[in-house]
Amino acid sequence: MFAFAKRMFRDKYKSFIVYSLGAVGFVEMYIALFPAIRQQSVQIDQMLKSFPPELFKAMNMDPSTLSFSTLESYLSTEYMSFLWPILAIVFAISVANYISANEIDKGTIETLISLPTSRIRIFAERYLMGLLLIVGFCVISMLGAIPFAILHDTSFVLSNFVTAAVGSFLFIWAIYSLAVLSSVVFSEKGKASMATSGILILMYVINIISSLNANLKDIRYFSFFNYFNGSELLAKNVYPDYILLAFGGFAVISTIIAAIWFNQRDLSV
Amino acid sequence: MANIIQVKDLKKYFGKLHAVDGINFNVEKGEVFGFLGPNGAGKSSTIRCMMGFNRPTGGSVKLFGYDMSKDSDIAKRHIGYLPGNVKLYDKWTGWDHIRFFENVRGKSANVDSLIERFDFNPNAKFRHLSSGNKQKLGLILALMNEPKLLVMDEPTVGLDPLLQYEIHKVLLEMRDRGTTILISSHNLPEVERLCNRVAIIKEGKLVAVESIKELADKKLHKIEVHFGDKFKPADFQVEGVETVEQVANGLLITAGGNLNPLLRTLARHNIVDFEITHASLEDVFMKFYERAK
Repeated sequence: MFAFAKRMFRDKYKSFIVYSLGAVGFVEMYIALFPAIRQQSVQIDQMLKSFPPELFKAMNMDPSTLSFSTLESYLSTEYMSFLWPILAIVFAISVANYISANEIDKGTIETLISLPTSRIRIFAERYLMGLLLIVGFCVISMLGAIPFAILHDTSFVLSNFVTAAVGSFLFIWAIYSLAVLSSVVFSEKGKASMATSGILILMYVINIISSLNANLKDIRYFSFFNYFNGSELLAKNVYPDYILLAFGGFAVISTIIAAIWFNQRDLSV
Repeated sequence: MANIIQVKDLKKYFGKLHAVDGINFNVEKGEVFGFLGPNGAGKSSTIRCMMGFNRPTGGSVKLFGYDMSKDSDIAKRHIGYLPGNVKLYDKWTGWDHIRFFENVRGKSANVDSLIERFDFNPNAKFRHLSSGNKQKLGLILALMNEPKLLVMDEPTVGLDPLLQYEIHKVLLEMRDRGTTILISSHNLPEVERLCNRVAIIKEGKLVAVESIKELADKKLHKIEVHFGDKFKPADFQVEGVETVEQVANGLLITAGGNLNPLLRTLARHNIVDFEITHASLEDVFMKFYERAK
C-alpha cells in the first residue's frame, strides 16, 4: 500500500529535514537578535519611514506594518518577505521535480511504469506525499519560532503564527502545483526548474510594475506575490479570504492539468 | 492457441519521423518471439508502446487481451520487463529495489535463488555496480515474480559472453516452462538460439514475420570448390545460385533453395576440393533488408 508515497518519503526526508532545520536556524538567529533590535526600534522605525513607500512595495513589503517593535512585525519584515519564500520555493521545486522530470531525465521512469500500477496512482501518491512534506515545512518553519521566542523570553501572539503558517502554506501549495505541472511537461529536471523559476520571476516583476505604475495596476492579479503578503499574515494576523480562492483555485486546476498530462504523455524519451 | 501479444496497425510518429508505421503481429502463449532490426529501425519504439510507456499515434496493442493504452496496470501484473541498458536508482541498494518491487508486485518466492544464481551482491548501491551487475539486478527484478510474459529490449547488449550465456540459459529454462518471451535484438545468433519466430523491422515497417525454421529453410549455402580441369564461371549460373566468384583454381558460390541443378553441373568437372557451409542468419537478415530496399 502506498509504495510510491512511502518510497518518496524515504528519498526526500533528508532534504525536508535540511530545509526545515535551515529555516528554523534562521528564525532562531533573528529571534536571538530581536531583544537588541527592539531597544533600537524607535530609531529604526523612523529610519524606515524615511524611505519612499514605493521601495518597500517593490520588495513586496507593506510600509504600514514596517516596525521592529513586535516579534511578529520584525519577523514578517526580516524573514517572511525574503528568506522564507526563497527557501520554500526551492524546496517546493525540488519536491515537484521528483514526481516526474527527474525520473524522465535519469531514465528511471521506465522501471517505475513497468510496475502494475496506473500512472494516475503513481502521480497521486507522489503529489500527496510532496504536499505533506510542504505542510510539514510550513508548520516547522513558522511555528518553529515559538520555542525560540519562549527560550529568549520574547512575547509573541500564537494566533499570528498560525495564520502565517496557513497563509504561507497556501502560497507554497500554488507554487508547488505550478512546479509539478512543469515537472510533468518537461523531460529534463533543469528545464522544469527553469520554467517554474522563470514564471515566478516574471510574476515578481509584474507585481513590482503594478505597484509602481497606476496605469498597470490591474496586471497584479496575474502575480502570486499580489496575493501573498507576509506582513498581513504574521504582523496583522489578517487572513484574506481571496488567498484561499486564488492559491487553492490555481493549485487544484494546475494539479488536474498535470495529472492529465502525466497520464497522456510519452514517458520514455 | 491464445494470443498473448496482439499488435494491430501500430503507429508511433515523432513529428515527421515515423518510428513505427503500421505494424501488425501476434505472439502466442509459450512462444519466444524475436524482434530483429538494426539501431533506429523501430524496435524500442514498438516495445515502449507495447508496455504503455509511450502512447501510440494510431493502432492498438493488447497484452493478455488488455488494451495497453487503458488497462496496462492489469496486464503488467503478469509482465517482467528488462531494458538493454538498465537504469535504476543510484542511491538505492539492490535490496531497496527488490523490496520496492515486492511492495508493488507482492512477495517474491524466488528472489533468493535468483540472487544466488547470478552471484549478485544486493547490498551494494546501484551506482557502485558494474554494467553487468546492473543488468543482473534488472534481470532479477524482471524475473522475481515469475512473469507469464517477459519483454526484453536488447537484454544482452554490451555484456560479456559469460553473462550472455547465463541469461540465455535462464531464458531457455523459462521457455521450457511455457513463459512467453518477446526479445528485441540485433544479435542474430542470440535470436537464432532462443526464438521460435522472428519479426524483421525496417524503418518502422515489418518486412517479414517468419518462423526460425522457415528462415533456416531459406538459408543460403556457401560452396567453395576447386577444380582439376578447365571451367567457365558462367556455366554455374544455374537455378538457385545467387553469386559466383572466381578464386584460384576454383569458385566461391552462394546458393539457396534446391541445390541439385548446381550439384549436377559440378559433377561434370574433376573436383579436387569441395566445401559446403550454411550461411549465417545474418546473411538471411541482410537478404531481407536488401529485398526491402
